[in-house]
Amino acid sequence: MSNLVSAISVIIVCVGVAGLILKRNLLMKLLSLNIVNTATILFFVLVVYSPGDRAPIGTPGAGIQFADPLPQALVLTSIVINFGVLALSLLFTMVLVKRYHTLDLRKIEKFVKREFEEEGS
Amino acid sequence: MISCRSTFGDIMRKYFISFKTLYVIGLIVVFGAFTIVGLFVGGGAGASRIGRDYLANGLEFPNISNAVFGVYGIYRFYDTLFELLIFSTAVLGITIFSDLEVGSSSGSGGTVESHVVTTSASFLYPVIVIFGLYLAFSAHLGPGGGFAGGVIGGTGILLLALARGAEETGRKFREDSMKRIEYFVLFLALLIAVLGAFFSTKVYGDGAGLAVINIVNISIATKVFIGTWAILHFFVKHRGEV
Repeated sequence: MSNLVSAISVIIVCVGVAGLILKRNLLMKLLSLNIVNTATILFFVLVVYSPGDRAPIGTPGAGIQFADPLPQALVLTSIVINFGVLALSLLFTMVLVKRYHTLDLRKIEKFVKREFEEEGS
Repeated sequence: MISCRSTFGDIMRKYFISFKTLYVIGLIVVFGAFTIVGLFVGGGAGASRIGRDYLANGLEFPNISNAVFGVYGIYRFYDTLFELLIFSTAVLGITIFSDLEVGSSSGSGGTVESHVVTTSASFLYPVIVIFGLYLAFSAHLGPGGGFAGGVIGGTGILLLALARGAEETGRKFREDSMKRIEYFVLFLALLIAVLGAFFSTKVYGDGAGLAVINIVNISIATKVFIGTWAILHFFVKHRGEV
């Protein structure tokens, strides 16, 4: 059962990567990045999930098994870094939109190419 | 004269799929299939119990009863340290670029919130900040931690900023003094990480270990609090602008 659900998290990662490559809208790209991160967190959760485990707080008594604490600490890292990366890339998106007035990546590339040619001539 | 023969590419173009798209989707499907097969062949995700060793040793220190804190606060503190460095790099980029590119004008300076919002915000934000501090201080005993506490504190200040205006709240929590505190806290965390790597039982174990653990928690919480506040303050200040 756990294998099946982890397979779903892999599929979600694939969907996110496809959106990251194929979408031309910058905001859609950032949303896809977020989907990848969320699927990674789901995978971390499923790696340690086993029914009946307790949270690893206190001393383990007889017959009580604790959940694995390592992925929980890694998920904390993942969430905070995703927050920072998302905020920074949203700022860069704001800068680009303010300069070129579009979110379409192909149009932005065209504008940038034209600017380079104007500088060269 | 229009040719009646339609190539494969024409058909694809008609349905808005180019060869490049097909190629990328194919690559991703192959990658996903290999990963899923690897999951099933390699014993599966549920079989791996990576942190068993940490769990056995995490309760070795008498001051700590939360094994998750034992992992991110002691055994893998370098991990947390580099995470804090990445976070502060993101915050640094945001503060630099917000001054350079986007400008410091406030897009919604004239909006006045209703009395209900301002009163309830000034009533609620001390409670929220104290709750964040509680989570940060009790991270080694129970659920919570520096990250959660810092984010809760930052969003509590954000509530204040939304109610009273971002400019006024920004004046109260000035960026230059915040930055000084941030770097001091980073230095403190680095010091504890280096000391703890060599003398872990002495640094974390004795009666003084409780103070060190609290300093670790509070430094993480302060770092995350300042970063969250800087990021959210930027986005509140420039909302509705572009």
